[in-house]
Order: sequence, then structure tokens, then C-alpha cells
Amino acid sequence: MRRAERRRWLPCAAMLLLAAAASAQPAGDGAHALASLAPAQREALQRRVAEWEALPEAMRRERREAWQAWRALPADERDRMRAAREAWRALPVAEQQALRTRFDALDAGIRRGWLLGPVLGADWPRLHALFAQVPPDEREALLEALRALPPQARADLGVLAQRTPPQDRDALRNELMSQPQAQRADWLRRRVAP
Amino acid sequence: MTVSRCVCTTLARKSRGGTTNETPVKPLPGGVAHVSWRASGRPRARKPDGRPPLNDPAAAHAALTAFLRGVERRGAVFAQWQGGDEENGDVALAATLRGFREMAGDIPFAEWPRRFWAMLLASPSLRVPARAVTADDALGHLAGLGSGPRAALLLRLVAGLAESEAAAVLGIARPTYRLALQRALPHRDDGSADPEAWRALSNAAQRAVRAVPGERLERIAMLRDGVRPRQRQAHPAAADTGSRRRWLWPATLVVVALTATALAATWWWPWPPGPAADGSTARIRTEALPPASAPAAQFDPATALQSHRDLDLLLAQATGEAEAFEDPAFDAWLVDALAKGEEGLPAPPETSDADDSLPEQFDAPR
Repeated sequence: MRRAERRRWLPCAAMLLLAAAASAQPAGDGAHALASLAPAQREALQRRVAEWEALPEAMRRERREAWQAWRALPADERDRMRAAREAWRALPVAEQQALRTRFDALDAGIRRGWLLGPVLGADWPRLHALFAQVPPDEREALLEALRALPPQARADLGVLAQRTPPQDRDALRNELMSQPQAQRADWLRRRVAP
Repeated sequence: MTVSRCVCTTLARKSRGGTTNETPVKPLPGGVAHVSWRASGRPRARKPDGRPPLNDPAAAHAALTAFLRGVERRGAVFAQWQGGDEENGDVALAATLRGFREMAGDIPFAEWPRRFWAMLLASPSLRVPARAVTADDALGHLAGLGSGPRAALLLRLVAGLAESEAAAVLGIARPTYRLALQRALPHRDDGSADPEAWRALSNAAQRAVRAVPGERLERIAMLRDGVRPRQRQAHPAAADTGSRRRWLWPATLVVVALTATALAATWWWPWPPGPAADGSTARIRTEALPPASAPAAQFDPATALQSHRDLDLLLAQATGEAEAFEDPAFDAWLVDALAKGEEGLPAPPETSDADDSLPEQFDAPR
């Protein structure tokens, strides 16, 4: 895959993550959350704020993005991620480092795609072409629809995304979303293998 | 002058029959017929054996002198009217006379008029846009003509060339020249030819040719010979130059002296003293600003914390809710990687080769 192709993933993934993060913002006022804190928690918060402000801006941005992506993930995926983290911690240090090295060796675009979670992250390299240009008000519905698709349907959609020229991607996306959710997998199967 | 009239073009009132030596020329409305240079000049210029005298240097020189004298009056009027300016016309004529004298030996005798008028017409100073040539009513018609039609008309009226010669001078065919001449002729308002105007033009041309003063011819000859003419307008110009020279040098010296004085004054003039070390007499004064006053309003720490951009993250970390949150991308990848490992799938390369293997996999469907 060309490097230019990989670079296109970055803004695409960022857009999806931002859309997911926007919906994950707490609707309540910060004052309410602060008022419910215990004195010890309030003190811990003050320390945490001071530490946070001491971080470099790039690191703050990275942590903020990761947090927003985490908040946007479904609960079951978060549970699976916690379990995987625990399993990783149970591994010998050498294996931990080997896994970490493999992940760090991935392309930056692919690494950011994993912020979408274990389900969409695996399919992201094939799906990104279809979601490179998505209207802001459609992102959330698209993410939800993608997560609801079975693995075979996501694989079919990945094949379609690779086959579809850029000028037809909007039509393919709209057609997919116009299908009832229960029939999308069959529709994709027919499109890939008529 | 007698020789020139005989050798060169003769403009005279003759009977329509003419003589056997005349080129048949269609009489113009005013009854003015043309006897071409070739027709009237050749018998006198020929030797008794009938050959042109060009092989004899003395005779050729005499013929050339006679020819040039014969055309200079017409040339002066032609150049003046064609170019619209007497001075420019005389300069152009003098240059043409000089150039023609140098090259006449290489030109057949019969070609002289054609080449001379072509040279004169080609003078750069005669190629200027049409200007008002004269205030004379009879010649006012010329002012409205373009350069080409005016040349066609003047070659007939002033130079007195036959139609074929004039067409050759202009480098055009005879019918074309005839058409140009017809268009250049004066017309009445209804479009018909105006014989009276044509007659008046013809008479004006003759009068102008005859009225060229000898003084002007001498000046043209001096121009031709490269001698600076000192007549006419040379006097006032010289007087102006002399008077200007008289004050030019003193004025220059005064300006130089003033400039030097001003330059010296920048060193020795008692300017106001420069800034002293303590700044008391500095021309640029500085003054310390008063101490900054307290801002009218300010976020209190509580409000700043409430509106903190990352409050939710900081709250989650402070309350322990975000303990599991460390690196979501790695965690998500771990889910996939560990699942594949448990299923016994071949593990991907552990080095940076993975970076290349994934793109290959994803490019395959294309």
C-alpha cells in the first residue's frame, strides 16, 4: 500500500473519532460533578489538574483523543479491551514487550484506526476509503451501523469499498444506510457475490 | 535652370497634341498636360550618336547635376506637402539628393526619375502621419488624404510623373495607381469629380514649385553637402544657446557651492546637542508606564476548573473511573492479536515487517 494512501487514513480516522467524542461529552454541568466530589477526591483532582497542565500540549492532545475514543466505545468492547489488557499484563515481560513492539511497528494510520475499538479497528484499513468523506451528521449513525454488522458483512463492505470508485462512494454509503438494519448483511453479500 | 527644365520633367501648358517625343498622357481636367522627363529630357541629354552619356564621366556628371537641379524644386514642394513640414521635407530632400548622387552611376539613365522619387518617398521623415500641410484652401484637400493617396496625387501634381512612372515609384500596378488617384482627386458632395478643385490644386502646385525661393534651394544644397546652414532660424537658436551658456556656468557653480556648504553645515553647524548620558536632553523622551492595574474581572479558580476543557477526563482519573483507560488503541489491537494467537494463527512478524504486510493484505482486493 502506498504511503500516500496511508496518510489519508489519518484525517479520516480523526473525523470519526471527533464525531464519536462529541457525542460522548457529558451533558451535565461541570459544577454539578465538582460539587459531588468528596474532599479527598477534590484534592486529588487539584493535583491531577496541576499534573495535566504540566504536560506538553502534544501529549495532552494525544491523551484527550484517546480518552474521547475510549468514551465513545460500546461497553462490551471496553470490557473486552480491559480483559485483553489484563491478559497482556499476565504475560511474561518478554512477550509483553514483543506485543508492544509489534503494535508500535504498525503504521500510524492503522494504529489510530484501532482507536475505533477492536471490532472496527480490524476492518478499518479496508473500510477507510468508504468513510474518507462523510457528512458530520452521518458519522455517528454510520459508526453505529458498522458496529452492528456481522464480521462477514464488514468484510463484504470492505471489498465493496475497495471496488467502488471515489465518485460512487457516497451513493454506496447512502444505499447501505437506506437498507433496513437486519437486511444490510444480505444486501452486502448480494452486492459482493451476486 | 534652363538645362534642368529641358532635361527634367517639365510642367507646362501645352496643346493636347504635344510633340512626337511626349509620352501620351491623358490630359487632366484643368487642361494641364505632362511632358515626362523621359520624353523631353532624353533628346538633349543624348550624344549625337544617340547613346546615353553614362559612359562618359564628364557627361554623366553634367547630366546628374542637371537632373538634380531639375528635380530639387519639385522635390522640395513634394517633400513639404507629403510630410506636412517644410523643415523635415528639406532634410529628407537633401538626404535623398545626397544618396541619389552616390548611386546614380549604377542606375540606368532612364531609371533616374523613378528611383529618385522612390527614394524621396521612402524617406523616414515623410512617413509621418498625415498632418495639415497648409492652410491654403486649394491645398486643404491634401490634408484630408492619407499618406498613400497623397503620395499618388503629389507624384502626379508636383513630380509630374506619368501614370506608369508613378505606379512604379509606388510599387503598384497601373490600374491600382489609377484607382488610388481617382480616390484622391477632389470630389463634390454628390461624389462626382470636381474639375475646379483639381484645377486649383494643379495651379497651386505650379505656383508652389515656382515660388520655392533660391535661398531655400541653397539651404537644401548645404544640407545635401553636409554644410551646416546658418541661415533663417539658426540665428535665434544660436542666440538662445549663447544666453543660456552665459548663465549656465555661474548657476552651476552656485549650486555646487551651496551643496558643499550644506554638506559642511552638517558637521559644523551648531545643531541642538545630542542626547546626553543621563537622557535629560534627549530628543526622544521615555517614560515608564504606571504599574498595571488589576483586571476588572477574572475567572476564579473554581470557575476555571468548572470550564476546564478536559474536566471529564481529569474527573475520571481523580475518581478512579479511568483506571482501565491507558492506551485504547493498543488495547483494541491486543484484543485482536491475542484472539488470533489463541486460535493458533500464525503470528505476524514481530518487527517492522508488519508495517509492510498489512498494506499488502489490504491492497489485494483492488
